[in-house]
Amino acid sequence: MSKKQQARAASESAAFLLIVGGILVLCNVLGLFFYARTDTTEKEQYSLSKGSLRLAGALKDRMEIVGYFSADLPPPYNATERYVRDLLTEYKEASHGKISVRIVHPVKDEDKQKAEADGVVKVQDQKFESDSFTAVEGYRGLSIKYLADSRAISHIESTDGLEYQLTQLIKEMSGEKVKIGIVSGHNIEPQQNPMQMMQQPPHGSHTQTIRAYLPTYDVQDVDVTKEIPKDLKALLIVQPETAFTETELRYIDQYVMHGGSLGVFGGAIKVEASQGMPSGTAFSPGLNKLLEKWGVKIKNGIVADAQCGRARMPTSLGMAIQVPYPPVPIVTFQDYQRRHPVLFRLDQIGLPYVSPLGFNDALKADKDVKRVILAQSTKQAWIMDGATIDLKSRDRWEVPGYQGPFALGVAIEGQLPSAFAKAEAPSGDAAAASIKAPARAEKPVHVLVFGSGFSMRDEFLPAQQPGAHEVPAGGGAAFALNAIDWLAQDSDLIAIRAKNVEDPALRVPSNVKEAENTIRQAVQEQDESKAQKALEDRKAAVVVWEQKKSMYKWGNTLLVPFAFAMFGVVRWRVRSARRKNLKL
Amino acid sequence: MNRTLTIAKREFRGYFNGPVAYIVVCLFLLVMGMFFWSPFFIANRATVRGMFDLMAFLLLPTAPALTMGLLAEEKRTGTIEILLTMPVRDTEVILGKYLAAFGLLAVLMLCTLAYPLSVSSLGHLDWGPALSGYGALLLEGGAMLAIGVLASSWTDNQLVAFFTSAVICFAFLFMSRFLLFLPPGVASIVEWLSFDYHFDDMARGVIDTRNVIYFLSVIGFSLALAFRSLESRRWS
Repeated sequence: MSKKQQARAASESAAFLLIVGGILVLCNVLGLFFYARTDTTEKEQYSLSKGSLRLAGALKDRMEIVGYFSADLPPPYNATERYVRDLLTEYKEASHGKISVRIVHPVKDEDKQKAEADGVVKVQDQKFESDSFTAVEGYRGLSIKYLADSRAISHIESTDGLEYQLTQLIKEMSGEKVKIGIVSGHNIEPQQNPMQMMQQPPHGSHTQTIRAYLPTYDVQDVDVTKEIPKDLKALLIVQPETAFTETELRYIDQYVMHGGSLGVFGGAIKVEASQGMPSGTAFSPGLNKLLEKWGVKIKNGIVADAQCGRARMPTSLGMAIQVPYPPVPIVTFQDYQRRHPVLFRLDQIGLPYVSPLGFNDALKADKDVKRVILAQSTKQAWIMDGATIDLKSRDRWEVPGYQGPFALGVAIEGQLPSAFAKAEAPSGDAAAASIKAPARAEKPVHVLVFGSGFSMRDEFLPAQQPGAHEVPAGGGAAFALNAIDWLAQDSDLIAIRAKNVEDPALRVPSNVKEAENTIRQAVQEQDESKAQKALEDRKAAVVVWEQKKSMYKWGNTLLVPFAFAMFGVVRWRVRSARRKNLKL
Repeated sequence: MNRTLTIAKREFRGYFNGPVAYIVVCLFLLVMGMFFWSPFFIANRATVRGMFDLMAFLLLPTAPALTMGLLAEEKRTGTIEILLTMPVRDTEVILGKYLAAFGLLAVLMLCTLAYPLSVSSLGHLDWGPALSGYGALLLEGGAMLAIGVLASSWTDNQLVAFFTSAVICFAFLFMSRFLLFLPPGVASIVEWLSFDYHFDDMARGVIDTRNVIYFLSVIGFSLALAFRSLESRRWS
């Protein structure tokens, strides 16, 4: 080949590579604008939820979202822009052109001023430069404008919970707040000094924390001694501590018959703590008069469960240790329960000081009414009852025998019949007699009854951090908010709340669990020989479980490569034999 | 295409006729097993996400080991000249050899299916991310193999081919770990070029066409370079 031909071939080769490279770069650049993505996770943890999609699609006017991202943000924030861009693109596509998205890299002073005027703040991060860490300032926030309203996410610290934050803001800006009510006047408020009262007037039912988590709701304190406003989408009764009168119950019934939803959380027990030693007192608020007509009743006592939370117990050495605390059952769910919006993406919840529920056949034949038991204790549960129930943490609990499972929560939906329409008011109670209600609910309503309202109260909810919008994943807060959304028939935010759910734990074999339960039972019965045998059974069960684990571990580690190597040996022998028998 | 497949089949069988495939696969599985199962019961979670991270790391020596001899050995022994005088095109040779290595990678992945199956019998495994993770590994592994074929086309020494492709794969795999030390403008480009950036999304269960296009581009460009490298012997 002549030199000329060589040079030509070389340049052709270089041109070919340039063309191929160019095409591939072009494909990648185009791919940035035209792409598709599928979330294969069971719970669609990395996709815009249906609530966000629906909300964006329902916008009536144009919404402008501007993302301010400095181009030179140090890691890990340099990847935030891509996530936000993708997320906003999904909102934009779902809005049918109502949402416009713009990403600005503030370099010029006027862009920086605009970002700050829109509520996005300059934040300081560290980056490594010239062999040392230096502080750099930049923007990574969002501004949202809708009609005359303007909001901002001043800086994005983490992309976790950003969808919830955005959807909540869009919801707040695009529509009127949903009105819900919390029944007041039936709780004993903690004593406050006059100065505290002036700064922060007490709300009913110890529900300040939950109110802080509900910016898309207009939460009102409701006096049920008079007619309840019909524009309330839901009414909540949270762990009442004083009894309801006939008039109050009739007003609640009337409210439900006019299409309002009702949530009853607790009501058969009062818990007081004196010097850190909690005790429960049996109590009847009279709500069963209403609930029994809808087929459900809150029974007396507190359910204690072997599957329970933990509490700190002081020891004689002055240190506190964590011990099992049966009055807080940890409730896990069946698949059919988990599909209910109230339990959406929740794997378990703790229900402190929960009373059992009972059911009757009042609505059994009513095809318009659907009843789903949402929460049950395990079989290894029992009832703690009496005039006063000692609830202080301890290392030994008296178990009268397992009586579980107990129903702890139920959801009822449909056109419920009135509890009082056909019932005569007590003689002489003119106020009660004057309350009229339709014989059946005017439209399908939601009623939720749980044996405990403590999971909604300030004492058991983590306080929201200032400026934070996310609800802690899983657990009581997500449950409480799911419940409110379902009652208000507002499911937009339910799907987003419990997104950050951990991978499920491995299953503990049933024989290990059974052995542990037998030990507890034997200890309670103070049967030493039974306890000894149960301990041996447990030991044997654990040994079997450990053997199974080892089998999985070594079986996978050694058996698979061994089988592959064996395949090689067999193949080699077959080939050798074939070669020996080869005849030319 | 038939000729490509014929070469692929011949090479694929070749792997199993010698000890390379067995040594590589068995070592890979042993190391994987040790590192995956040892902490598995301590973590107590029904997930195989850790397996994918580990496999992506283990592919770093595995992919070069599978590809180092594909062209380098043929060059050293001179059989490449015989092969290229046959009625096959250079592209068919490159593609055939690449597909053979990819087939072996698929066998390797198949052997690890025992892990998610075991995990699913111990707890509730989400199969979506598990399958998507396998897809991510096939793409990332495919890209590493293509780089390996390219390195093998540059030299007639298998060791040189191994180390060259290992260094390039190492750079692609770990460049995202050094972003903090790079100027911000460059950091974003380097991050986008890194395997991690595209692999992580798929390993967690999100299949995104941008990530797929990226890996296919790396494969395509590496094979195109390998083709030109092989072809260059005609005029260099």
